[in-house]
Amino acid sequence: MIVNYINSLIFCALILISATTSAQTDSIFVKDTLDNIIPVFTTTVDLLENEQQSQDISGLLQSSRDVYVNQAGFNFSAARYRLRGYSSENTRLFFNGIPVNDPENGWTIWSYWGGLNDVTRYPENSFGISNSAANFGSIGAYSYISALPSVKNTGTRVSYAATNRSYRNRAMYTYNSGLNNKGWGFLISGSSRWSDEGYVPGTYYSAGSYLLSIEKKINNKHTVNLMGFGAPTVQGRQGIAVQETYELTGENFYNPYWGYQTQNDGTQKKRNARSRNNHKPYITLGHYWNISEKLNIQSNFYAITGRTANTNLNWFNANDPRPDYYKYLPSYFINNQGTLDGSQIIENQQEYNKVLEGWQTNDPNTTQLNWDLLYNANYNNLYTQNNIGGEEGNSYTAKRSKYIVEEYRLDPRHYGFNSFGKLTVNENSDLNFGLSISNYKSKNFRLMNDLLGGDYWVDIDQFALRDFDDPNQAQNDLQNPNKIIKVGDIFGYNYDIHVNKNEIFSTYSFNKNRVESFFGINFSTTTFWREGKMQNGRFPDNSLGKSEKQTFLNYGAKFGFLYKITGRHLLSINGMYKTEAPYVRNAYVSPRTRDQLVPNLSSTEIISGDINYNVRLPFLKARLTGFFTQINNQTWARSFYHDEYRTFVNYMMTNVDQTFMGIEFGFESNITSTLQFTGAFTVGDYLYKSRPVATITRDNSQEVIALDKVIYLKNFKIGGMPQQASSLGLKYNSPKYWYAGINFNYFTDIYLSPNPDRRTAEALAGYGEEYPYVNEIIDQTKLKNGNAMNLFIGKSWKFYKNNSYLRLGLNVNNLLDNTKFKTGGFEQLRYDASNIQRFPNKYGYMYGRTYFLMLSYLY
Amino acid sequence: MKNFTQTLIIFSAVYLFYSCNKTYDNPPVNEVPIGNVISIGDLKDEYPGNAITIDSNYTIFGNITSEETNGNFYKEVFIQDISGAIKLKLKASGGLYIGDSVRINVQGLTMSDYGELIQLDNVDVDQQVVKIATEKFITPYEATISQLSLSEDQSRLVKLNNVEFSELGMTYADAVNLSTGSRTLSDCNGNIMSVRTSGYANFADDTLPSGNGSITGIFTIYNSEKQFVIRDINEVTMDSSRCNAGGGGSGGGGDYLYKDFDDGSLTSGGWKTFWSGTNPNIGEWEMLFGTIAKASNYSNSTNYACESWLVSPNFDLSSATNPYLIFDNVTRYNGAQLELYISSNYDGVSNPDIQGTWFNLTSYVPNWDTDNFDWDLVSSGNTDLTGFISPSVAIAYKYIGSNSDGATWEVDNIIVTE
Repeated sequence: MIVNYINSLIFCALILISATTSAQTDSIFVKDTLDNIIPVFTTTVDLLENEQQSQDISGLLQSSRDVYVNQAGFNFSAARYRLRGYSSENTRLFFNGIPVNDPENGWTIWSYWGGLNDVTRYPENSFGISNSAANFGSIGAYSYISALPSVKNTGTRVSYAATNRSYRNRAMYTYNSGLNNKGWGFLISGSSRWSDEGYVPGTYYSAGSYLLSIEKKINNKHTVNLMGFGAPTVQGRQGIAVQETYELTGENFYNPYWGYQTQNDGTQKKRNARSRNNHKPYITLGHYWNISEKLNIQSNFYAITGRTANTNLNWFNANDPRPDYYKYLPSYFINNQGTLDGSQIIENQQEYNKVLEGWQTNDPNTTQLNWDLLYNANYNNLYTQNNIGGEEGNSYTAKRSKYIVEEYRLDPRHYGFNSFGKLTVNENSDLNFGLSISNYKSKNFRLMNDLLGGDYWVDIDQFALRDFDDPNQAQNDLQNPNKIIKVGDIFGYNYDIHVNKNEIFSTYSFNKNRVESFFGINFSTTTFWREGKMQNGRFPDNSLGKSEKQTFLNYGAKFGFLYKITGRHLLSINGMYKTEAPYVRNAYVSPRTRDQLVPNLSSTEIISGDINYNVRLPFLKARLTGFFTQINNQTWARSFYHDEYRTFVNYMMTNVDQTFMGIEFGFESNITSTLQFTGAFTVGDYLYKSRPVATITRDNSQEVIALDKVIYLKNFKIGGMPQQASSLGLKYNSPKYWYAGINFNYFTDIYLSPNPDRRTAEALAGYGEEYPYVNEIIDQTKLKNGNAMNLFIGKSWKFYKNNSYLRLGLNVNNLLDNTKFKTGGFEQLRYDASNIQRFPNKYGYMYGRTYFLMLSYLY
Repeated sequence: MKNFTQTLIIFSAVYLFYSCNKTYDNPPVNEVPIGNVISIGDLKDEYPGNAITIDSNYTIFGNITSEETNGNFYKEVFIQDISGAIKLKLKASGGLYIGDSVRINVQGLTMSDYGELIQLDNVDVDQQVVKIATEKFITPYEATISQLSLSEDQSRLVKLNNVEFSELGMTYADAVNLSTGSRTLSDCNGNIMSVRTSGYANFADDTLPSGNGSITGIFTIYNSEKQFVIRDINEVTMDSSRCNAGGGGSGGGGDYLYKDFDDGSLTSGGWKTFWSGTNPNIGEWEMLFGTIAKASNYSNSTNYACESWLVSPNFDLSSATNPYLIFDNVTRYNGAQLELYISSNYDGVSNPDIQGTWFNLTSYVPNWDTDNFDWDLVSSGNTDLTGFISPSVAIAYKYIGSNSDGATWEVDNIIVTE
């Protein structure tokens, strides 16, 4: 099979050679250049923790026709830019009619359909508050991707791309029959992306994707469509680290997640401890009904299933195996003296020198994981576990693993129905309407992935073992005490999260002469609850079974008004007010162990408005927008080790208010018929606007450590993205069917997200007012400005013989190989107020020069 | 049809790439060499008195007698063979458990001492220790305090019989500040040793048992001081009568609290007094006739304002069903009523004015003496304590005098029983 596949690639190459002289114009290559770099698995996707992976919607942005948005999507994504500062729960994405925002946290995660670029290439997009067709929409982007054979371009497209980003190779095939004379249509797409090692050391990538969409037009009134897609992806991930490790190793892409493992033949193989293994198949059954010329309705049933899995190391009664653990860095030998500056004494000079040398020489035994040691620790740990299942005399003696690779699973079981339509009321006005019913469940559990040479693991909590003298409290599963865990067994926690959401909306639009306007409302109910499958020894009374259901009633209203001063000058204003149920991901204190709710949980409130001025002249297209948004009453929940309380805590912040305001400006100007000048600028001010209150509980017990702790976050900047970004570009379109362009991009005002606990009176309690180092604790970190230059170049050929096209495109991102640009990071939540450098910030850098070279053939 | 063939090709390709998931071989085992076998006793005999690195390719065999699970030991375990025992300081926490039968290659390790207790430093359990078997439990050496030899028996697993704690009412260690506690253990012949407990131990907060009995643990030394470390709280069974039962601070075994002051001491058995007032020491609790506790603020024909506490040790009522308090009391002269309090969160040390939640029991006592101008002690009657059943309870008498008046109060034979 694979041989055939390679043959067809060679065949394409031969055609290329024989046909270079017969090049001809390609009317759509302009659009195609933008998509060549999709998917941009930039630093955004894997750099930060899981939560960050949703923020990359560049794939969606780049295909926009908006003069600002497509430049921003293309050029700003490497700097982790977010449209108007919004996180991705404020976008609404529909794939073939079904909503694909995650019901647990609202995110749209592009990688679930990664590699299906041929299908996702040209969605219907709108940005900001708009008259969206499939639902009420939100304040960010609204996007509708169709996978109907009758809508997509027909024909076959084969492409191969070589790159040096997350993956190195991509092969893609798409065939669309269009509708035949019997009303049948087939759309098929598939791809592979792979690399043994990506741009960052120790990362790897192996992904496939598939999509099959069958359409049958029954008559002029009825069309049905069955579609399924998925993108199985296995990926070795990149971690970010503290600045010290980058400086010592001289490598800004130092990745602490991998290490060598000796193989049977004596060779050393790189192994990554943090892999991602996702596969979420989507199936939709759609019905398109043209009831009359004035009324049409689309209805869909859908089901989403599959798994998301992330692995990590865990250990029991053993040393932290992570090479960048703070005690293994040279600074620990200085910092543990507890002084901020001045007379720092190195207590153990010999050990310090040894560690320093290991780091400076990039000795993998120091800077990376040492899998051989982990295995040997397990080989050697003969242990007798007694009282298995609580039965006296039930014992097992074998190698008990001290180190394991465990897998965190979140498996969705989601089905739903939605229906939306449009009624033409009269020649000037339309009514859009719809309803949506969604039943979502996720199965959350931990699975034994690899015992690393050991025979078993015992399902108890080692911290509880030390903290409580009642041995039952250490049990993760009270009904199976001292459970022996083998590969493939569930342990630690096991619970389901249910989210049921029902929504109706309607939008009335009125267009006449120089006016276009709309007014929309929606109502929704959201109910969620937790269903525990394990009785936890620390929380025997609130870990097992269904929790109380939480229900929220929400509503929203929006309007838009556009006035055409002339056909070339347009002025518009939009506004929205809505409430949204809190996302279940933030609703429970520690869902892994219990169903305790975050106190004062309530709906989020969103108020947003924008004013836009559009120019559409033959030589200039431009848009200028001012926007202002307030998102109030948000909840923030995290768990981490708190040094002051000396325990693992659950940290919940409520009443988090944020404002987003700024200006966007984009233009495209045709200087000559072949030379185009483009620019995109955004100046934003994204701030925390309230003093949230925090509740802190011990993860291990019901104990509330702090209640209503005031967080002094007001006027801190929202971190993790540039608040100002600029792009200027030149593009040359040759009449000889080639093009070339260059962009210069500049990013400023990038902040790290503030660790809330460092902005409390308690954190400063040990210091007097005059203490000079208070600012070290409370000041927000601002990153240096950065820049990146991108180059793109391409050519296309048309073969008249069979009416086919061949295209070659090259994108070079970060042409000048700027590897010094920190695009983000985070303040560690663990901190020591008396020595803030003990747990310093972690940073991630923009990739250096990368390329994406693609050859595609369309017939 | 051609397209379907291509489709098949593409799906196969997808499957192929997807299925080339990474797999890894198990790395080879690092063998720990055996070399020359040496007994622990012989190894310790080679210790010259200051830290040395062991150059010889020696291996010791032995059984582990302590573990870190309950927090009382941290980064250390003890190993014992028939010739002796030695402390292993671990490079990393965890991995060795009571009953593990192990061999250790000690070449390259440093042998040192801490207060003359010999130890091997920085033992890497993963690299230098081979576990041969588990659950091979050593029987503790049953000895008396005086029999234990500082040199020969150090680090050994020992069981002491017929011993008791001196600081009644105290906890093993300070679990709040996580600091180590040192408590005196004595036998009936007056020999003592200290029991040292880490503030991180999960039993640090337990109240010392008030009876006499046996205790098993590791015998350690600090120079010439004999010390003892508990490895499992279940190996402490002290519920028999104390050595001088009835004569000193304690009554029958069934009493939760017994104080008859017949030993002439206000504070024996963990009782405490606190005083604040205008004239130094006037109004303090004191002994009367060597058998009764008394407080009065009257001196040189003058009353002095004061507050004076007599506080019991913490005692454990958790096993009681219907406990009650009974005591004898007598009063004379005009002044405030003697007050009686009870607390279940007293720390056993602090001034009750500032620490502990104290419930005023005064009005629940059936029979307080009234001033009938005699000095005859009367029984209080049974004051029900059922509502106060908890693991750590203390009672306290509060004497109050003013500058204008003040009674004399005497109490005796304070008993909590059922």
